Amino acid sequence: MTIFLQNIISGLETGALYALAALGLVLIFRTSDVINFAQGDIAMFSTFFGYRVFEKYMSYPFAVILALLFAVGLGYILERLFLRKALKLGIINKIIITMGMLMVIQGLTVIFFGTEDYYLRKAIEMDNFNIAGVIIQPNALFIIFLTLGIVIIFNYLLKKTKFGIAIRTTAEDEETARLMGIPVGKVYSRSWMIATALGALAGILVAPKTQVSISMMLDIHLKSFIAAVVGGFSSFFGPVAGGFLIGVADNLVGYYWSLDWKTAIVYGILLITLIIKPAGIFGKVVRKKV
Amino acid sequence: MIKISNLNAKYGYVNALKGIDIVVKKGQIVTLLGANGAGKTTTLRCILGLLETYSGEILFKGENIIGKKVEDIVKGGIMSSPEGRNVFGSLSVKENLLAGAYTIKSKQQTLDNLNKVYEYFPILLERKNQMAGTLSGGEQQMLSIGRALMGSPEILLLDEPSLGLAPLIVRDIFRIIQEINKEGTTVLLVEQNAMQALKISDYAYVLETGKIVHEGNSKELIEDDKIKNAYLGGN
Amino acid sequence: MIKIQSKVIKTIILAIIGIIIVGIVPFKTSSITILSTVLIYGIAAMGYNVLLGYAGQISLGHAAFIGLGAYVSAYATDVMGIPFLGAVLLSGIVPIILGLILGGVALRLEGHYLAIATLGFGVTVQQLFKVLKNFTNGFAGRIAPSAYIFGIKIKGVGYLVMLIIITTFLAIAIENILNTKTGRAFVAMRDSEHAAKAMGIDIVKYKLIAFSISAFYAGIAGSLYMHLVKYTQPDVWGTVLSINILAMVVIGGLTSVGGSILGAAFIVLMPHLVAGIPYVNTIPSASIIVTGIVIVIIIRFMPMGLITFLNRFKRRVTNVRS
Repeated sequence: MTIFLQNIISGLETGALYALAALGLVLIFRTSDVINFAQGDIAMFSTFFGYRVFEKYMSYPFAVILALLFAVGLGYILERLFLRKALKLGIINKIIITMGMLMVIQGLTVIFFGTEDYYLRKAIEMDNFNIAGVIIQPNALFIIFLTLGIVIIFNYLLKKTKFGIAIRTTAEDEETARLMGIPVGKVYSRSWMIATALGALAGILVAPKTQVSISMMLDIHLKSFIAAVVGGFSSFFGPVAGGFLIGVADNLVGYYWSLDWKTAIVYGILLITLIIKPAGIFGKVVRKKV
Repeated sequence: MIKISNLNAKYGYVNALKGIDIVVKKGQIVTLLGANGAGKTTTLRCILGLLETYSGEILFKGENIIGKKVEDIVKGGIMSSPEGRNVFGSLSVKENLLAGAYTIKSKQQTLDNLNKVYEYFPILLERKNQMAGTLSGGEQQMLSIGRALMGSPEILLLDEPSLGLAPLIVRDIFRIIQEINKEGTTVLLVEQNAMQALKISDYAYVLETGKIVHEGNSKELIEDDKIKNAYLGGN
Repeated sequence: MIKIQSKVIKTIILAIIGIIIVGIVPFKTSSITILSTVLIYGIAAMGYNVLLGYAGQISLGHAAFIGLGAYVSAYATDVMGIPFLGAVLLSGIVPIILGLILGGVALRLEGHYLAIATLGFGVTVQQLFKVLKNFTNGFAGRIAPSAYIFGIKIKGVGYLVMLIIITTFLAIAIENILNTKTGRAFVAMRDSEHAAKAMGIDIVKYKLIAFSISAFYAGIAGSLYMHLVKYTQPDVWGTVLSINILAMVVIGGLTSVGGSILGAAFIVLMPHLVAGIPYVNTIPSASIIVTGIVIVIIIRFMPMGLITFLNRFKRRVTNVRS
């Protein structure tokens, strides 16, 4: 039982990171109609930056904040530079643009930060504690609650603020949103800025496990897509739920069944979801008008 | 208030508008009539800045608004209820209305506008927390107009408000449009339901394949035999 | 009919010229390998073009099919002892099964949903490559023997010539398919599924055909790759490759068979070209940055692809002459 709970917590921890990345992904997707393939690499670039700051100043909170600001700035620049003028192009062309973006960012990472891996500390470096035989890592709890907190704040932003209405209307019907005077361009840039910040946060939090490296975001990046599909792209919180679900499933399958097969099985869940409910567990299928 | 001169508009290679002239004076209800594809909606889209290629002059309160961004045109005082209503289905009625008030900075004014809209359309107050997508056609049309009013517009562009609605509801809505106009909002009304539109409007233009083929005071047009036969079912 | 025949003749002449050049000019071995890679990707791109450009199905996991072809070919020649040409054919046929599965999924999804679903599909298959060690040897990687046709070992220039022949043949085959009822059904489907259904076009059948054709071509490409490089491991068959194929087809020009090859040439050659520029190549990872920027520029300013740009250029030149 204790092992089971430990696996659940561990699963929620990784799941939280998937959830953050998936939320960023779906935010960009629903507002500016782009599947951002560069998401993982932007997060990686920002984490490298954060690492350098930490290395220099040895203050973790300071480095994290700077890394997030870096990510926000980067998100703004990338959206305006690469995608703003390309709005009219179809989704395929926009995907390829994000691919070009990805290449540029990878290259820049190598130029600025080299090709080595670095170790970045955990967010909370405290001893594990033991509750009724269950070993709990404080860092894991921190990540889980931080993510839940972010989700709650985001929900508040969406439902209770004026800008939240701007996001939701742009996501649903951009032209009509324009007719209301809603600044759709601002919605794009801010969506990108929020998404890249979420990605950077996920990167910083996963760094202790993967090292700060070029390929550090690979797993989260791919799983965030799965989370978005399983949870359902048509809502903002479906992917979040999907992320936690995938994280837990990944862990449980890995422990109780087979480490080898765990990823394949998780992706198998994706396929089954697609067959049974293509719009995702929490999604609604949008029927296109003729 | 709005003066359109020699407006030409294209969709790709198709000439949708071939040099039209329209004047909407402050306080009027002006209606654009014509069959499907005549260019009525295109005209509205030009005013709103939604079209890619268009030339000519569109003066709003004396200033040429061709080439301006949609955002700025809307902020300048032009709000619209688009063809098909286009309510935000996943938002509640109240949230839809708040969306319409996006350009209003003052919370007080937003509240005032909201109450005004609820006065015009009591059903919206009743259903204020309901998802807009679940409203009936008539209710959605009211929401669409109410949403446009939330922006305190000087002129309201209405695109086919009667589309797909039962005659009784259409009468209701047109009555309310008259009320809104009496309280000071200029209205440019695009309609296929010529009879109703002519009844409440001051002046009318008739479009056919991108050109204005007829114009005049609405009272005169109702009596005009040609118009009667072409658009009013010859009664 | 005449239009097709003249295109066929033009393509064959082009191929013959290509073979002669390759036979006479002493290219470096590395250049031969690069050119071979261009053609291999070109084959995959041609098939993918049918799926994306003609049938309008956004599929982002195409590397799965190519990888499957590669592994099937390696297994068939190495373990089962099937002769090379037979293995190549088998490598085209087996992925069709996978294609039908994905096609089945695609029947229920459109646009963005389909894109993400196929992405997940591609990654799932890649995971299977990692896990099914008996078939793929997992991370250790799989080797494949050289290609033998009638007992003669085919490598280097010979392999390239064989590729030219195969590519030409496959290109002509695709042009023919696209000029029939099937091709027209694809285009109708792409432009509006509802309208196509209303016209009586069996969407299910044609979607599955599109996925099958693209899977077949991908499989063959994978097989040809396998016997060129003779070694592979699962990391190759991931999202990066899938998106590269997408880029090849879009950059070259959707709905143009020649465009696919052009796009493949572009994506493969670009990094090498950049490595040749004097100042730029001293900056580490310059090639990836420049390639990325060039891709973005092309998509922004030539969204219809290089081939349209070239055609316009050709027209301008011929107009000047007359």
